[in-house]
Amino acid sequence: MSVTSMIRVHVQLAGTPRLHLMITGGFLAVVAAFAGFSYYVSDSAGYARLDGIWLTIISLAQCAFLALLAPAAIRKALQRDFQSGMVESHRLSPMSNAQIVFGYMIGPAAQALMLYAVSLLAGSFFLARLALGTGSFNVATIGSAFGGWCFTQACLMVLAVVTGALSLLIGIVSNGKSNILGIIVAISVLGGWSLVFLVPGLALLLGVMSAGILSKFIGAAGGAPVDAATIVGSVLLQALLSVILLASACRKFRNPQRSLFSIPLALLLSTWAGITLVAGVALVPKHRWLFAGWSGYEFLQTICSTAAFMLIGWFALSAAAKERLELDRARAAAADGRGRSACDLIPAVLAAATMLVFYVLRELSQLPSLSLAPSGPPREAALLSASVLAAFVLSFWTDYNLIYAAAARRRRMLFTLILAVGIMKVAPLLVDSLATEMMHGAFNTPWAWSGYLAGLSPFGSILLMSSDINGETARGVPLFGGLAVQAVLALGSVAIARRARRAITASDSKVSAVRSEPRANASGGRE
Amino acid sequence: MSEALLKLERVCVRFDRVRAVDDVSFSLHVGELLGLIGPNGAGKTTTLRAAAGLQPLDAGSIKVFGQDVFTHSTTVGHHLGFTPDTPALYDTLTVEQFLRFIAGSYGLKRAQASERIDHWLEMLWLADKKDEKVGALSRGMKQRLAVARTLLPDPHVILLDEPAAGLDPAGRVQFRKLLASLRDQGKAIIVSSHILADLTEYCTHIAIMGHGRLHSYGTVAEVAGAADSTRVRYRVLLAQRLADLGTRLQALPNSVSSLDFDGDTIEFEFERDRVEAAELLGVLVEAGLPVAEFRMLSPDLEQAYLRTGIGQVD
Repeated sequence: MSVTSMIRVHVQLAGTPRLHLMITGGFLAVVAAFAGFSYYVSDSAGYARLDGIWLTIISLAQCAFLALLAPAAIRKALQRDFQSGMVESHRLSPMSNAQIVFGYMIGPAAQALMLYAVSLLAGSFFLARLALGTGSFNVATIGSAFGGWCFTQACLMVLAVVTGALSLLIGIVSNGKSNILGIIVAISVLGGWSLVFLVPGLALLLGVMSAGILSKFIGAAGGAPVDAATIVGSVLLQALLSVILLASACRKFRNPQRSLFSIPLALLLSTWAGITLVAGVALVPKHRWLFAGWSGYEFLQTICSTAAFMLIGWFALSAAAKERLELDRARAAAADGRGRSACDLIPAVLAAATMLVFYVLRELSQLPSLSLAPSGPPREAALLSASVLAAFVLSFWTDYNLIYAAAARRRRMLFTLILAVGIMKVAPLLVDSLATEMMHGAFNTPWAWSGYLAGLSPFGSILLMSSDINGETARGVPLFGGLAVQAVLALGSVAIARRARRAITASDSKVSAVRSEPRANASGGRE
Repeated sequence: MSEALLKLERVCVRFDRVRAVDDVSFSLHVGELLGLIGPNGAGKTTTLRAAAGLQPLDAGSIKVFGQDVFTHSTTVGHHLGFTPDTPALYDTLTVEQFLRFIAGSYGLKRAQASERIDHWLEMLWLADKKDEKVGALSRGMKQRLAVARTLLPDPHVILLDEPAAGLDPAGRVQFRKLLASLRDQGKAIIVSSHILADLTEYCTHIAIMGHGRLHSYGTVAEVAGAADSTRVRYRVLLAQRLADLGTRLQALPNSVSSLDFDGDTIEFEFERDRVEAAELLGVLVEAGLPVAEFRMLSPDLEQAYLRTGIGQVD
């Protein structure tokens, strides 16, 4: 009952039934008119080609309805509800979080779903024409065509759930202000295909990043060179992601102060990311048509995919830091003293997972020619691997403490923090590369200090471990020197977090002192 | 004493370094109507939002029927109703569509919903607005619709933040009656308001807040008389206006304080004791004042509030 109320009210808010019918009928009329005209002016020999064109147009329209219009409607509904205060009204009601989230996923998207339903009919019509127009009425051919069509529709629906859930979650987190679709479009326009080339795992989320990829995805069901196993795998990964996003939306709806994901959910997300990134790189050799022109960039793809994993690992870090903070606050309020928490192990867990992902990616990339595998005696190789692992641990540990301190000071500075930490990790690498290139260009000699800056970043550590820069010296001293600097930074972050923790304890002891005072009149004689 | 319907225990809410609610505790039982007063920024709205489970706590706990409002929000949702100071409504729906949605979200059956919608629209003078768009209603009507939304699921604990702010005088009278009726039905109600005269009429309890803290809490008589329970305010009406009233009032004894007069009306504070009051009446008559009415006023909440020194009532 509650879910149907949520759905019904959002349909009512989107417009009157007459308006919905007019829009849907209007779309159908436009398609019929243009299609009719195109068939009218064409000779019968060109009908098959027209069937194919119209099927593609309908498919693209379906993508627009499900992947763009529906998420936009969800965001708009959330924005309106936040502005009018109705979100709080929903929070007060006895509806469960799942009912509310489900209502938001379906209700505002109803118009888009109606358009999709109509386009499904139109698409089936063109598909039937296409199948029958092959010249021989063959049940198997028609069955196969419709099977592919239905499969494509199922894939589209999963994609719609992912984009809808993403839009909903971002809307809940940003009080309906952020427009994830705008961000996606901006990334698609600015980054476009290059993002998929750098992080092949993104190709498994086809459609999320680029309309161009989406069209290929739709084409895949019709015979494009993507095997069914890849598509099924891709759809399953998308489905898992949507489950994670919806679970997070349920968790956040009534408790906006919580971290975006719980620790188990964030770890599940990291696992999902690991599988997706690894699968993406594994699929590169099988889909050279998709990655045409990017041969020889496997090393870069490995580094970028590892970096993407680290970035997603931040959600788990954030969840752990916030949980630790809540624990410390509870302990301070109860004057329970300090203590350790299992949350502190998360940075180490993530570091180990990153190392694992890196090694698997490295193996899949099959790049021994680039000296990716540490050369030299096994002992040296083990030492270098341990150094990179240490770099990951220090990196995650530093970030964990900084997030803790920011949250303890109630600063809404996550974006700034991400940017700062991102710069801290990437900038040394870029500056080092730039300086090395410039020195080489100017004096035609290798720069003596090459690698020293790169060693300050965990990604630089991977580079130093995997390639020879200035021979053994560049690999050893910059790597270990950089590690030492990273350790100092980590200790600094520990000091910052400790200071924030002390502030919590001091602040809550004041509250305890207030409590111990007699409270004139308050609740006097009530209990 | 029966189990508390609503219980706030050592509630603390902070915004950055500001303590919006600081160690506030009280409880509400069946048939109790608490008036929450205090200047702007005293923490009234934050207290109500916290009690509704909308504002996370930094410390303390809030329970409705013994269940935590934050961890059992869906269960508590059946028992608790909250009207914020700015009505949360869907402007593009009709009044009936909006209330039907609310009824549906609380799981009410269609017939039951229809019955209750008609009842509350009638009670809140909105029956003729049933088919009008919410956006077309006046501010006062929207306020009443928001109250109807709160009362529709028949909650046991009702929290109203400035409910009479947008109401016209007739609406305020009707609203007072409604609150008194709800109180008599056994609901536990908190009303935050700046209209203190109204509160004395229907509240059973009063809480005065300032700077996030609870300065006073008790029955209306307790709080109003908290400053000095032996003294009370009196009003004297004269049969005619006197030009030399000020001169004649010099005859009053020194124990009379907070004296205000305006031609034919005199107000002052004096001992509560009836014998002393009778003697004072004699003094007034002897001074040649044509006393038409001599009345001991009910506890003056406004005076009690001003004595706390928290701030002015808006």
